[in-house]
Amino acid sequence: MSEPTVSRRARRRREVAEELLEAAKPLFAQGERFAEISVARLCEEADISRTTFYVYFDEGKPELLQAWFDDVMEELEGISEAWWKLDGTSRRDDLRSVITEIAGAYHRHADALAAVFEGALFEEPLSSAVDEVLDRNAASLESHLRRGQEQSWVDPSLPARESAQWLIMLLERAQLRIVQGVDPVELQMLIEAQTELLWNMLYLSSGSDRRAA
Amino acid sequence: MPVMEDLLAETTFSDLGVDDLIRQGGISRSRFYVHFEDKGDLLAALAADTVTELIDHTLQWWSLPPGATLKDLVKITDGLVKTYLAHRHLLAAVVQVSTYDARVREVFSTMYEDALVRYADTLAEQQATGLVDPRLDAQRTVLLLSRMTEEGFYHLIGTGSGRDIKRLAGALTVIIWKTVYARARES
Repeated sequence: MSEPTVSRRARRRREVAEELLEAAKPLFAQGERFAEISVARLCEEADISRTTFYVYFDEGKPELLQAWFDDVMEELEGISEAWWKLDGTSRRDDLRSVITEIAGAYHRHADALAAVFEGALFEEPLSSAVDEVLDRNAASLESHLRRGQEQSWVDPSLPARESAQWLIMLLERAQLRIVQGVDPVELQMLIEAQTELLWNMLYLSSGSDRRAA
Repeated sequence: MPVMEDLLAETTFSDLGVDDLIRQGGISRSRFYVHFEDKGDLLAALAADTVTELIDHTLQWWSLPPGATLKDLVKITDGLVKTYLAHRHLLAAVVQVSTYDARVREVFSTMYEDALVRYADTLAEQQATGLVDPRLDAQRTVLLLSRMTEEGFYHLIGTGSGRDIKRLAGALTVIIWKTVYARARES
């Protein structure tokens, strides 16, 4: 019975988080840092009352960062699912479309993610929450690699766990600074370079006939 | 002034006062301010030497001599990790302070951008002599691998235990080898 109420609240919370983000973007564009923008100012720019702000984010600004982060990660979850489905029959194009989605999401949401990653350098529990999600993604990639090693489409000599940890550093944490603010042509080149790197690293050695793909 | 590095192991940069620095360092306040505007200035000066050392060392990744193997690349990575760990508190402070101190950010982003150009040029020379696959996008590959390394040193190596660090360094080396050298040198 209470479920519709909960989801209505969650929906409204998400809307408020988006409105606050849109209001903050022009400030970011002027070089202002999220940490230096007060709740009062943020609310004023977004035309939202402070009461409303604290109804949804009673822990204050770090909780808003958490909401922005959750939104992007939810979007990325579907993308990762597509990646884990790749196997020995997949082609370079399949990997490229996964990378395109990841890089595109980081490019689109660069403002929010820059504030989140910066906040996570200083704030708990935000820092742990970010670590937890990225560790989980690394664990999923590790399982994918192990499955590939068992089925002989991933190089068996690769240390699955540590390779996955580094690649998540590249695809997630470093991705922001790699794609932030680049134009669409450069974004495409960066996607291509990452596809090349991952394909050679993970999949190429399993069959030289796929090299030309 | 290694005093700052020692203090950073115990406290965050923002909690560190110039008073602590001069007391522990045994120098006078006036002498401190002759050389440095503030503690951010000191941090930038100290870390610049370490970052220069890391950049020069990283250059070896992109200029592996003919006949060198994965083992040689491992040695280079191990040296990098050792330097990073010896100064990890200082380097972590740079990452944190760069978010709010524009001057510190400027110093290190300029060093970083210059380093990327040197890395790409070095790799391009290797491509010209056939030691690296000429089809590789040298400029973007060094960018990707440098950014990945930077984040991983902070978030993985800097927080890992001894055994983890060894395995992580090994995996990082394999990524560099497979991305940059394997195709030209294993065929």
